[in-house]
Formats: sequence, C-alpha cells, structure tokens
Amino acid sequence: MASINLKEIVKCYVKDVRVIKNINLKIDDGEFAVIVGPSGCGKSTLLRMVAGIEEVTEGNIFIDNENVTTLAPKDRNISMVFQNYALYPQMTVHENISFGLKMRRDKKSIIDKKVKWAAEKLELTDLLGRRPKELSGGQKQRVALGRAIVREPKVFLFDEPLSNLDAKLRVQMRSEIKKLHEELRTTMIYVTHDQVEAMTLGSKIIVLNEGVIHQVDTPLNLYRSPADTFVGKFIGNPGINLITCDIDKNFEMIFETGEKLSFSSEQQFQIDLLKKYNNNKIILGIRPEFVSITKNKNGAFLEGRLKLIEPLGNETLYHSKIGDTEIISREHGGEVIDNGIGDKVQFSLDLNNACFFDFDSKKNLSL
Amino acid sequence: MSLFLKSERKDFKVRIFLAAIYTLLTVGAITMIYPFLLMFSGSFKGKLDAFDFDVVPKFFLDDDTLYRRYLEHKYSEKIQEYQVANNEFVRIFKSIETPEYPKTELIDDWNEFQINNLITPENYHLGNMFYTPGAGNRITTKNTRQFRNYIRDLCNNDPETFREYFNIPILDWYFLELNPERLLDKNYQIPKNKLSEEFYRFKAQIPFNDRIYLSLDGEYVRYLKALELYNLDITLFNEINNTAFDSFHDIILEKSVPSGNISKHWGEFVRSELNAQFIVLKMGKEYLFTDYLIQKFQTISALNNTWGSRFNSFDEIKLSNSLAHESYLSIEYINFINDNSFCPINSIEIKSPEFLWRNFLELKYTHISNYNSHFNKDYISFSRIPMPIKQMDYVYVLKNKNRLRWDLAIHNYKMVIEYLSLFGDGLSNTIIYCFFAVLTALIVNPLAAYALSRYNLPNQYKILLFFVATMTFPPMVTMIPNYLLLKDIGFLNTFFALIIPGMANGYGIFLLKGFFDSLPRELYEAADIDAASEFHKFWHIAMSLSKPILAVIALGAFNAAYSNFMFAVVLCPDEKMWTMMVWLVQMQSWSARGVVMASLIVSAIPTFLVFIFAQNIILRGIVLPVEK
Repeated sequence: MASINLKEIVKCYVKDVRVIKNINLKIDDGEFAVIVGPSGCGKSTLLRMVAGIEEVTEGNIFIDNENVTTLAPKDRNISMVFQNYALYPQMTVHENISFGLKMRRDKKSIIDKKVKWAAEKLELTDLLGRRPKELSGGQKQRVALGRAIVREPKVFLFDEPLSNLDAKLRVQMRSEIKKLHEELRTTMIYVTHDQVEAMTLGSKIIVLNEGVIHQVDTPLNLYRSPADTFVGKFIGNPGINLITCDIDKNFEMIFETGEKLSFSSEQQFQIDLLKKYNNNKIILGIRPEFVSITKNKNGAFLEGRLKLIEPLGNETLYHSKIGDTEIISREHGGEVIDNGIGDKVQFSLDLNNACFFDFDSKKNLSL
Repeated sequence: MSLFLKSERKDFKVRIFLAAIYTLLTVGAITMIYPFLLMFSGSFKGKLDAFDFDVVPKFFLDDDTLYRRYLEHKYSEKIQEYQVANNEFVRIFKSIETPEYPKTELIDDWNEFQINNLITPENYHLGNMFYTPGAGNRITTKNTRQFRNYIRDLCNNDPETFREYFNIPILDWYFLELNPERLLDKNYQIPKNKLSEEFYRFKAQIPFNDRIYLSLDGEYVRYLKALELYNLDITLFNEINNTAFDSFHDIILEKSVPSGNISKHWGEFVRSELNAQFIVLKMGKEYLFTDYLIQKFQTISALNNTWGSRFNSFDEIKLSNSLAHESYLSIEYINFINDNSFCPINSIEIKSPEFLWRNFLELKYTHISNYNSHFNKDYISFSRIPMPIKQMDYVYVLKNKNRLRWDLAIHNYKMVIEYLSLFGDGLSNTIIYCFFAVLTALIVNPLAAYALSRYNLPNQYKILLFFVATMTFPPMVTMIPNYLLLKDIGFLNTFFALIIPGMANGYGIFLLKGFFDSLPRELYEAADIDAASEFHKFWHIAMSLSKPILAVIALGAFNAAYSNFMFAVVLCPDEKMWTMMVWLVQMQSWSARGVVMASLIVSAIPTFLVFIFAQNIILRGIVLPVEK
C-alpha cells in the first residue's frame, strides 16, 4: 500500500531533447491510475521510470514518501506486467510465478503457498506445469499477472497489458484486472493508448501528450469538461467536434460559412464565459451526441452536407461538413435517417453541453 | 514459403524453371558428393587399384581382382618375389592372370603334402609380412601386425623391456621392423640374435597359406634370364646348350649336376648363387666336409678354440638343418662348397620344398603315367612338376572371399587407428584441446557479446569495428606475431598455446550479440524487477534462450580446434603435444595412398557425427536468425 509522488520529472534520451517535460503527479494509496495518451507520448517511459528500469534525467520519484529515484527496480517493491508478457520461455508457469520469490530467497513452503494462492485467484492451477509456449495469449497474461501479484508489492505497474489480446479477451481481462484491484486494493498505474480501457478501469486518469500532462481527473469529468482540445479529441470515440468561430459583440457565434448562432437567455453561464472574448476567435467543442441532425429546417441553425453514414446498430454516426469543418453527430436508436450522401442536412447544437476553448492556448475556458 | 503458388506450378514456363533449378541442384550435389565417394572408395584400395577411379572398389565385386589384391598383400607388393615363387613372368600384380580352378585331388594332395612333410621355416618366406618399406607407400600387413603383437605380448607391452631384452633401440612398437629375409641368396644368413630367434618361433606357427615356399626353379630361371650371354633369347639358349625349351620358364633345376652344356650353368648357379642350406652332399660323400675341416684346423682343439665349441672329434660334426642360420659351421660349409678341390660338383645335390613335393608325388603315384592320366597332364617325369602355389592361392581366395574382402576393406583403417592409438598422445591431446576450445568459446564469446548487447559501453561502435577487423585478416597473417607472443609468454608446447588464441572469436561475438539483441528487452526488465542477479540474467535468460546459436558457436570452435594443423604444429613442436591432425599429416607423408584416404575418412568421422546428432540444433541456429 503506497502513494506515489512524481516531482519535476524530466527524461532526455538525447541531451536537451526532453521526452518527458517536467511532470508532477501524485497518485494516492490504493488508487487505480491510468496513464493514457497516443503512442510516442512518453507514457511508457514514465511508467518505466517509476519501475526503475529507465533512468530519470531530472526530478525525483517518491514511493510512500521514500525517494526511490536512484534505487534499483528490485528494491522499489513494485511489480510490472508487460505488453508482450515477458514470461521466461524456458520455465514452467509455476517457475515463472515463483521466480521473483526464489530470487528473494523466500522459503520453499512460503513460495508454494503464495504460488497456490495466486494461481487460484487467476484460475491458473491447472496450467502450473506448462511452459509459456503452450499457453494462449489470455493465459499468458494471467501468468504475467500472477507473477506480479505473488510478491504482494506496494505498487503494480501495467504497461499496455491488454494490447496483444483480441478484442473480446481484452474486455474480459479488463474486468478481471478491475476485480483484482478491488480485491487487493493496491496502488496501480496502468498505461494504455486505448481511451475506452482508460475510462473503464481508472479511478484517476492522466492524459499525457508529448511528455506533458494535459489533464488529471475522473473519467466522467474528463469526458464532460476536457481541459483542452487535445483531451477533448482524445477522450471519447469519436472525439469532440471542434468548430472555430468568431464571437461578435452580441455574443453571437459566427461560423466560417457565415451562419450565426446565438445563446438563449437561459444560457447566461456561457455568455459570462465568453464575455472577454468579445470580437475574438474561440473554438466551440461539442460532443457528437449533442449534435442532432434533422431534415426539416425548423429551429435548426446550421446547414451542412452529409459525407458518410456509419450505422453501428444501437447508434448511427453521421459525418458531415460545414464549410471545411467536419462534424460528427451521433443519433441513438437503430433508425437511420434516410439521407443520401451529399444531401444537405440541418444541425441543431445543444449549447448547454458545449465547451469553449481559447483559440490560441486551446484551453477550456470554464476551467 | 514456396517460390510459386500451387496454381502457378502448372504453367509450362514455371515447370521448365523448376526443372532447371532441380537439375542444377542435382549436378551440384553430385559434384560435391562424387569426389567424397572416390575418396571413400580409395580408402579401401591398395597399390594395385589405387588409381582406378571407381565409386565401388573392383575387388568388392570381382573375384579375380580380389585374387590379385590378395597376392599383392601376400607377396608384400614385391613382384620379384612373386616371379620367383611362381616361376612366372609378370611385370605388375595387376596383370597376373587367374589360374584354372584345380582338381580336388590336387588340393587334397597339396594339403596332405604340407601336413605330412615337416617343412622347416627356413624353406619359406613369410607372406603378408611387410618389411622395411620405402617412403611414401608404407602399409601394415596382417603378419607384420601379428608379429608386432607377438613381441609386445612377450615384452608385456613395455618398449623399455624390449629395448633391454633385444638390445634394439626402437621409438615405438610401430617402428618394430625386420630386414626382409633373402633365404635363397648365397650371401644371406639368418642373423644370430634374439629378435631373429623370436621371429622364427613366430614364423613356425603361421598357417600354410601365408607361406611363400622357396622355388629353386624360379630362382634358377631368374638367374639364367639375367645372364648377358642369352639376352633373354630362348632360341639362343637352346642352340648353345643343345636343349629344346619353349621358354625360360620351362627350365627346371635338376637335383644333381646334369650332363651336357647346361651343367656349367648348374654348377655356377649352385656354387655362387644358391644359399648353402639347399645344397647337400650326396649319400656317402659326407666325409669330404670332414676332410675339409681337418685340413683347415688340423686338430679338433683348434676348431673348438675358434668356434667356442666342445667337439671330441671331427666325426661328431654333423651337417644339420640349421645351415641357413649364422654360425661357424655354416660359414665353413659355405667356404667348403666354394672350394672345388674339396667339393667336386658331382658330389653335391639339391634339396628344396620342390623336391619334397616331387618325392611325395612319386611315392603316391609311383609312375608319372599314373599322375598324368589322373590329372590329364603330360609331364615326362616327376622332376618336372612344379608346386601348385598359384592354384592353391586361388583356391584359398575363393574359399575365403568374404573374409578377405572384409580384411582388405578394413586394412587401411586398421592401420590408421593402430597408428593413432600406438603413437604418442595424439588422441587424448585432441580430446583435451577440443574440449577446452569449445568450453572457452562458450564462456568467453557469450560474455563479450552479452556485455556489448546489454550495456551501452562507451566507444561501443569502435569495439565492434575492432571485432570486424579481426575477421578481415586471414589467420595466417597473425600466425607469426601469435607465435612470437606465445613464445615470449612461455606458452609454447602447452595447451594454453592452442586454446588461448582461439578463445575469443570476432564472428562468434558478432553472431551472439545479434542474437542477444533480438531477445525481448522486457525479459531482462522482468528479471530486474524480480531481483535476478546479472549472472542469473546472463545464464538463465540470454544463454538458455540462445542454445541453437551456442550450438553453432560450439560447432565452429570444435571444427576449428579439430582441424587445426598449422597452428598446432607451429605452436607445439614437441611430439608429446601433437594433436591427431599433426600425427595424421605426419603419417600421410610416408604411408600408402589408400591409407592416406582412410586417414582422411577417419579424421572426418568426429565432425560428421557431431553434424548428424546436432543438425537440428544447428539448423535452428543458422536458419532461424536469418528468417527473423
């Protein structure tokens, strides 16, 4: 049980080229923190620095208030699960799970007890005599989990553990990991590029891009009020619609097509927000489910052309273009609006659920 | 992955292409294997068929060739010996013609003759016995080997005992040799020493078919043919001697001096060419020798003084069968025979195995007509009948075909293996050398490669470049500096000199580094987190996952060590440190062609076995990294 504190962490592989740029992060005891970001954003590097298998260029890492920055991985009392499982191919499942204990010179009786416990927890009891190549992907990852939990470390680190599994297995393993966390209540850091995984697993999500933390928040907050356009685009599938517009002195939004959109009197909050952006450019961010598409032009405000229809069964995605800006709208229900590609359609935007971003800094105005 | 899809293979052009590829591969395979097969077949051959380039040696299939090879071995590759013994003129063993298969009665007669007549070892040479040979064609035949073993057993396999007992300095059993016997020669006497005594004891127990009975007829004919007077012209001979021979080989040596012109040759041959053991005084003429001795020594005590003997009177001195052996008696007997005044030509006659054979036949058939009708021949007297040596050899060969084939086939191999086991420590040196070469290669190379693969060493690139540089120099270039270095350290003639220079191998390190690099980094990291030591990571992860590549490294190290000749002989000039290869090259310089081939095959066996048993692992090591 431990909290993790990262202070001013910087990582350079080549001198003066910062991959991780001054990161400060605190993860509380027992928390399930998910680091999410596109590939190459430095999330794995960050995790590996916590694990100790990557050196820290600047800054300090504290686990349970102990500075572990210069400690070897084995002395940090952590365990890690890798994307490619990293099971020792020549050892059996039992040997794989017990390897870390053996290296720490635990007694044989204790080792056997712990291995038995871990195997039962992960339903590996029947597989203990097999070698990794005789296992399926899911089984391999369970063995890797077993190897991690058997040592009962302070912190679990997961480096994209589900990426090598097929979609169905991924969902199943996801819930198993979640269950595991609920049972063990150990601090976990989980790295993934998959925002669905991040949203479903984490109690705290850290969105990372280009070595910088964009937002640290709960899944719902992240979705509802992204800190900037990057988070908005990254979280949610499809991401948030971003529409650049000008604000005139009447707080009307003027789109590039020349169409105008004004707030109703109930939307005073938004008007207050936009006050200082009078005569300035802003970015309007709106989730696809708050964009509705209609055929009739009653009360609808924007006109665009339909480019693509994606019927997904329970919902349908409509890709349209307003000027040069692409807008996706999500309609629930199985019914597909019978519009041909290239037809003109009308949109209505639910501005109560919209976000507004600064045009230059891309930051959310409400935060 | 196949080059063509199944559907494409039906296309005519593709078929032609595939056919061309398979033809090329087949031709390649044949050109690779054919020379090897020739070498393999050559390893079974002797002098006679060494230059027949066939994949299956002829004597495996053909009885006549087997017969010739048998004769070649029996007469120890000496055609003259064959010519005399068989009274037949052939230039080489290869052109000996196969005789007719004799009648059963003849075989029985010959066996009966050999069993019933106690023919002393002085009357035959030993066949299958290879005496001091010339350089470049040494072989070791059956009886040479047996005699060597006989002496070894006698000396409890201790060369020191041998040196003391026989007073002959030999280096090794392999060099235990005798001078060839020339029992027909006037000037030859069996030396009076212990080794010769042992040889005669050994010779007496040898089976009949290894005996080469001395044919006086053959020797006489050889003598006559060598005379300048006739110049090999039988008509001239007939003219001068008033005879009617069809060829020189029809001439026989009469038992006592014949009448007519030919008596001159008989006398000259017997007196000056023939060994004294075949000459006896006629019945009732024995006193002539006693007279000679009295004339020479006057008193018996004078003779006793000179001879160191204890005769009471001259009458006690009897001529025995031991005249072929070196003794005072035999020397005086030779002098006596040379002296015409004491020993007139008509007082002597000849005895030899031939005459024993003729006597035997005469006793059995009483009259020549009986014999002639029995065997369908037309001899005018028993004294014309030669010994059926050639036929009997043929019978022997046909009766023992398979055993002889096997003996001849393994003959060269036997010699190589015997040589290696008798000589020095070649075998154990090679085993020790190979073992440590493989062991050190498996320790040093992986350690170096591991360090290069796991740690980002400063100047790593330069280190790698250095390794590549070592691969660009052929080993010959570094031999002299290597030698000088090892000499200065004082490692010459030790295993260190052999093993240390080959411990690290640039190619091996490169190969291993590549393989270690290809192992997933996460394995090491997982081990780091599991608190595994560096050695543990090296041994249980890097090494245990690189078994195929390690097998390749081990094989390379083994091959290099095993086939190392130049370095081995330069760095370890002391015979005690010679490896098998050095011994084999040494052997090849003086042994026969077939033996050289056999030694090559023998030396190829270990690598071949290694390949057979390790081929799976090696293929995984060579093919897989490439496929990755």
